Amino acid sequence: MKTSAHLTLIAAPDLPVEAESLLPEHISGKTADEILAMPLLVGNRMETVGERFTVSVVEEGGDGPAELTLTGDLTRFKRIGEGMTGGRLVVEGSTGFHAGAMMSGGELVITKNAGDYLGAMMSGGRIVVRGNAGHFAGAAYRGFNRGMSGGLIVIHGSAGNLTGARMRRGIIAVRGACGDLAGFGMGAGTVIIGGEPGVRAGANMARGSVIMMTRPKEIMPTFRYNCAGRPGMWPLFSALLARADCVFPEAGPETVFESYSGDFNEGGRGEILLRRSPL
Amino acid sequence: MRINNVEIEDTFAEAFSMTGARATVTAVSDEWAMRAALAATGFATSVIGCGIEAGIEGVTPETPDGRPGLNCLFFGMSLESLEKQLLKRIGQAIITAPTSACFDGGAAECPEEKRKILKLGAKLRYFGDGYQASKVIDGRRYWRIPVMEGDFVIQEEFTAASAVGGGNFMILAESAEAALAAAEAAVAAMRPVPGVVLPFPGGVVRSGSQVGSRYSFLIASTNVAFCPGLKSRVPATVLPREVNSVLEIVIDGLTFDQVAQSMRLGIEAACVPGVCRITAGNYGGRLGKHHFHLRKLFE
Repeated sequence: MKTSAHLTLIAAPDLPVEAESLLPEHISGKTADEILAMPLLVGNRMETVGERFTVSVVEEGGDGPAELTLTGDLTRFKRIGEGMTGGRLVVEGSTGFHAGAMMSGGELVITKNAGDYLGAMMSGGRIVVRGNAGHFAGAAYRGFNRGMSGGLIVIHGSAGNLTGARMRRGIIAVRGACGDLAGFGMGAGTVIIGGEPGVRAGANMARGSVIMMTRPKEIMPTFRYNCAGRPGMWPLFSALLARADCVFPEAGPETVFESYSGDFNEGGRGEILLRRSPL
Repeated sequence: MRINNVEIEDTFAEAFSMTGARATVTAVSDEWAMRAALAATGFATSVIGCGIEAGIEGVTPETPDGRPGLNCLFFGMSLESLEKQLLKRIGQAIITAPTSACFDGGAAECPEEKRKILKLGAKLRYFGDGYQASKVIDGRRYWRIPVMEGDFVIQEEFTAASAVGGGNFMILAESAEAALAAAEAAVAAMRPVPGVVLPFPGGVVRSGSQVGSRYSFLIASTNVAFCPGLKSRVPATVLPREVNSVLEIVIDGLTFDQVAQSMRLGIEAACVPGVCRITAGNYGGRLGKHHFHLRKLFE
């Protein structure tokens, strides 16, 4: 039996909320009362979901992963979708920090904005943010040297600094502008930036790719120009992103990119691909 | 049994178990995809002489990179021989073709327990001399091998599956012209069947073979029983007086049902004026485990 639950926020809290319990796998098979009794840490006080949300539950026929929808201004709710392993979690509104951090499966959709550390250290699954994301999307937490290691993050708006910092696999696509140091210290994976990139994209990257549709103010001097051409991987990325409803209309399958290798301080095995604008 | 007054002989085609794989070849245009696919599937008519049997299955409307592409089918006698041949053919014929890329075409029609993995991209990547790099997209790993023109992309793993090779039927006709017209009609009807290729030139064989030879150094020789010019000299001839030309269609497919469907369509189309009889090649059922009884195809 597939469980679909819809939680509607009664009023936005004044205190930060630790919302890691609000996962599709946690509501699967539960009744409305059981969901309302689930714990929720508000400030330093343990409350229940029922004190903050109203709930409606639909049990559908057939097997399938659970689906949880959260509606309201959840900017003070941290860790929504943290550690998610499957199912679908839709946030109709904005979320706070750590949304989708360390998730390994399923899909998290945020219809407005996400805070810092979106999808930090995630290993699988898909995150779609219709608005903007904060700093450190897909990055490693401080003290860790491996950021995102799999999955896909699509940000339709802009993203903050250090997007994809220290990531090891996976794909981050930012449709809008991106802050400084995108792909900092990458070991593998791909960061795609549609809008204006900040400074020092790809700094300290050992491997991986930073793909930019808009020319940055400068390419770091520790990157060296290779050639202009049509990378064979771009059509694959383009097709994948199109399936996730993220289209870069300026870059079709036959788009020409300038290729740079770097960061030569780290061996030069990473790459920056910069879309060559039509003359 | 007769179709359009052509006799369908009460016999069966004897086919063998093979291992098959589907590769999707893409390129910047239909033309370059075709050139790569033709080169990769060339000289692949019979495992006896070529080590592999292969053909172009057809144009695929959806390719992993969204570019024009073709599906090619390859059949070997074992997983190892198939892999050996595919490494050579992709390495020499597809990597070398400008703008090409190569992906696993899958074998969705085959039961999962009959599928195996060929690590083609994982082995061909070493052509990159240490400069190769991989990307994982949707759980699949792709290798980028730098080449003089740009880079070549190939999927790390390809699907292989148990397959059926050597399905066949023979068209016995009054004249060479009638036999060729019937064979062309049969091939046209059979080509659209998915999962099937006709590995011989134009899908047609003029020189069917028999097992063995009077020469000890040959494992196969011309099928004397079906050579019209030997009717008076070969006691074992199976050709009636009115037959003056014979052409054979050989079919390899990923599943028994696909080969059977293809044979049925082909035989129906081949029953045209000038054709006397349709028969099939077998070894008495002793060698191949897949038997296609011609008349049962139409039940």
